[in-house]
Parts: sequence; structure tokens; C-alpha cells
Amino acid sequence: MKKIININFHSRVIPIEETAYDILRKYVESLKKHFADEEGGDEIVNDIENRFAELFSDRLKKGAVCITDADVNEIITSMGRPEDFDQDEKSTNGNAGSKGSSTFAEEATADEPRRLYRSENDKMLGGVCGGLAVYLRIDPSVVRIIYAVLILGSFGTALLLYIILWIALPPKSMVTKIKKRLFRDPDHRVIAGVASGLASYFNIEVWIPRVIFCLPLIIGLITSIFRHAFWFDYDGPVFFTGGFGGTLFITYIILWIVLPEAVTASEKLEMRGEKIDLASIKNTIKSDLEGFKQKASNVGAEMKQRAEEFGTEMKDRSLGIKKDISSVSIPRRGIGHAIGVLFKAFFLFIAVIITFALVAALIGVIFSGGIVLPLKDYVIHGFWQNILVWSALLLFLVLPVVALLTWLIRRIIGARSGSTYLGYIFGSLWVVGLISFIVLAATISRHFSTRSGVSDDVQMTSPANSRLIVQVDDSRPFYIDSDWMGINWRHKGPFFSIYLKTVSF
Amino acid sequence: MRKGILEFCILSIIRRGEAYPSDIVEEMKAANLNILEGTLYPLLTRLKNADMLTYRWVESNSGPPRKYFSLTEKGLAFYRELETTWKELANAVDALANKSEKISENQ
Repeated sequence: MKKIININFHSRVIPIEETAYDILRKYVESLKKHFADEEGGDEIVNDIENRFAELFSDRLKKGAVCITDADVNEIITSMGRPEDFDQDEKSTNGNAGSKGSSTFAEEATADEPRRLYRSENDKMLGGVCGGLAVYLRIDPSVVRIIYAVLILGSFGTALLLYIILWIALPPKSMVTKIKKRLFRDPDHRVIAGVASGLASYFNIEVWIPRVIFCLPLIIGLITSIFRHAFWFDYDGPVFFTGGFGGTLFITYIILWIVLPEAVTASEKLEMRGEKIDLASIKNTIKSDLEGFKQKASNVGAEMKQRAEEFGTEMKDRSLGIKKDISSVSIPRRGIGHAIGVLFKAFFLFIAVIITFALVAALIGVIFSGGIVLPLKDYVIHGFWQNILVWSALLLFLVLPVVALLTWLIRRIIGARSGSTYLGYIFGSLWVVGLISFIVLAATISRHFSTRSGVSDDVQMTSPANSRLIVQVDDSRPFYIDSDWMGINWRHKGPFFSIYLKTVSF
Repeated sequence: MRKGILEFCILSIIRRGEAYPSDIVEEMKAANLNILEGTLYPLLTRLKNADMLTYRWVESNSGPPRKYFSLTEKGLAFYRELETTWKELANAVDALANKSEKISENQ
């Protein structure tokens, strides 16, 4: 004899055994817990409850007096328990018994701990570090960094070891199996995305690694300005700025070479260490596309990309790979990439130096300008020259500095650049400035150059034929100046022309 | 069953007409694919949140109102992509399974 209670279940009154009600309640609790983190979890539980209500209604209509334990259990079995949802939803792994296709995965993992191979897929040079990474189960980029440091620290001996390993280890096609990998982030980059990638991996704000990279440089700048501006002899050691500045710069370059770019959506997810499944890929692609405002409305592109990711994923999974393995990353590396990076870094370095030179020139002009201004009229004459001075000054010196500052600030606050034409406009104005600077220099120097001549009377006999050949011995004119070491040098005098002044017979 | 294939099946069923969850389970059983209803509800909700599906409530005398799901435009486009991917996969697996030449020994 069981107690029956009436429950108000989704706007229906359902008579149900108390014990059955307990079972139902526990089941709903477990559902709620299972879907607690899920987006729309409430709705899902609601839908399932609704289905229960429908089935209860059915049974009552068919003549049942009340809902029994058996009924509830039956419906629960057909609906499925929360634990069962997981196995149905995600691809198979541990349950080799119920889903036979996972034996593939079992074998793959069983192999790894036993032997060290070098990797066929994940290679920059010979795949030694890639293979090591799979064997040790750490991120291949980390292995490469450590190896690079080892090479430097052991004065190159580690390089020999690398070659030995390259010869000794057999190659094997393998998939890297780590959940969170260190990438460069090409979407949030100022130079190469090294800082953003690091920030994503360690889950810190982007500006922190950036500042760390720039810090020695900034401190070095400031201290050197102080040292030179205040004219007292600073003999103290320049330890922090000197050594550190160089090291961090090299570190940045090494990271630039070693770390791969996170291009596909699944790589971006790996970078942040998020779970790779359809929902997160969708979200990643969504946020990617929102970044490019004009593409946000292009649903076709989004679908294609998403389905591509999805398709790659499906293919991988059909090969029985475990669910937490990252998909095979296409090797976008190799020696070519490393050399490319070195070139890029070199040009960047030169660009930075040029910038600094311009900034220094500007500062010099500003500081000395006030004093020099009255002297200006001694050098610059005339309307055109004045114009040239101002245009050269503004366009050649001030403009690049302003442009660089705006670019820097934009990158730091992450604003998207408005138009590509802006760059061209700035560039052409700068070239105008350069030209005016050159013209200015030419005109000034012309004003300041003089010529003088020597007049001499020369006796000449009438030539035999009616042709007179005049030859100038141009070794005779010379001048002497002394250089910075105090040595006097004798220079050949510049020869312009000779002309006959008066010919008298 | 693999998650992606499941989505593909569900969308294929809904594409043919408005369907509610029970219907979908029945269809799949008819095609010899057994899934739990409890797997279906979360999937449908996710697809709906991704704007692939839309639903409407249909009142019924014999029970609580039911959600009838149908494909959106986005869903249809997604379905096409899934279809392509599935075909590629099927072809790939077929091709491998039908190969008869020996694998060479020089690995």
C-alpha cells in the first residue's frame, strides 16, 4: 500500500506514488547538475521535464490510476541518464567495451611511452623536438625553447646532439597530444604576436608581457637621457639596461621563430586552453568575425569556416584519436621560416634605429631652435628658402614622429586602422619633406660656395698649324687641411675651367 | 555515436518538415540508429541557440504543449556543409576500404 501524492507538473495535476516522486526528483536534480554549466541548461531541463509530463499524461489517459515507480524508471531509461549523455555526445574514448572503435586510440597511446621517435608532422628541422615533445607529453614549442637555450648555454654542443638524434631516431607520423599549447597570436599583434600569445597561455593581460619586453629599453632610454642631459659624470654600472635589453630582444626573436601562429580556430582555442568542441569553435569563429566588422554579416563565410573546422575535426575523430588531442597542426615552419623571421627582425631593427634618429633630430632642433632662430636669417634667404625650411622641418622630421606615435598608440589600445591610404598619405608627405630638405641643402650650399680664379699673363707663340692646344697641369692647384687626428692632408684642388680673357697680339 | 554525425542526422530529419523531439527519436530508431532522448534535448537547444533551428509551441489536448522544431536559413546552409563533409568522409573511408594493393615495407 503506497502513499500517493498529487503534484503540479507543468500545469497538470499528476497523481504519483511518493516513492516514484522521489525517484523523479532525484533524476531532475542530477539533470540540473549536469547541465549547470551549459548555455541554455535550464531550457534543456525544462524540455525534458515537459516530455515526462507528456508521457505521464499519456499513461493516465490510457487508464492508469497513477504514476508508479516502474513508470518513472521506464521513462528515465528511455530518456537516458546524465552519464549516458556524455558518452553519446562526445566521441568515444575509454569505454572500449561499449563502443568498439576506440581500440584504435588505445593502441596509439600504448605505443608512445615506450619509444622515442622523431616526428614526421611537427618539424622545423628534423622533428627531433617534436618527437621529444610527444614522448614527454609537453608542448613542442616549450621543448624547442628549452633546446634553443641549451644550445646557447652549451656553446653549440647541443647542436651536435641534435644532429646525432636526427640520425639516430626513426621518424614516425605522430600527433601532438597536449591540450594547451603556446602559440603566437596573429590577431592581437603589435609586431609578431609573441606577447599576446604568451598572455593567452598564462592567462594574463596582454600589456603585461609587452611591457616586460619593452621595459629594459624604456629604462635604458630614460637613464641615458638623464646621464647625458645632466652632464655630471655617471660612472655607475649600466647593468639592468645594458644586459637585459639585449637578452630580452633575443628572447623575443627566438620566440618569434619557434612559436607557430594560431591561424585556425581550433589552434586559437588551444592557445587559450579551451575545450575544442563545436560550441567553442563556433564562439571563437564568432569573435573572430566580429573583429572584422565588414565580414560579420557574411554568414556564408562563417558557415564555411566552421564546417571546415568541423570537418577536419570529424576526420580526426574518425581515426580514433582521443578527445583531448589537438588536431594535427600543419607544419608552417622549417628553416625558411626561421630565416624569414631573422630578416624581418633585422629590418625592424633598422626601422627602429631610423625612427630614433629622427626623434633625436627633432628633439635637437626643438631644443636648439629657440636659440638658433635669430641666426636663421644669416643662412636662409628669400621666400622660397623659408618655405623649404618649414616644409622640410615639418614634413621630414615632425611628420614621421607624429605618424609613429599615432601608430603606436593605436596598436596599444587595439584600434583597427582606418584606411590603408593613411599610410600612403603619410609616406608621400614624408617623401615631399625629404625632397624639400635635399633642395634646401642644395640651395644653401650654393649660396655659400664661391669660386675664385687666378689671372696670369702667358706668352704664346703662334702655332704652326692654325690650331692651339691648351693643356692644364691640374696637379698644381692643391689645398691642405688637417683631420681629427691632427695629420695634415694634401688634397687636389678642384678645377673648374680655364678661359681666355684677352688676347693681344 | 560521433557528435557531428548526430547533428547531421538530426538536421536531415528536421529538414524534411517540422518535427518534435519524440518524432526525431522515432525516425532515428527507424533508421536503426538508437539515441537517447536525453541526448537529443541538449543538442536541439544548442542548435537553437546557434540559430540553426527555430521552434514553435503547439498546444495539444492530449498533453502539455510541444515544441516543433524547423530549420532556419542558417541551419539549411550548415546542413549543406555537413552534407559535403559527410560525403567526403564517406568517400575517403570507402576509398581506403576498397584498396587492394599491398602496403610497401619500407617505412
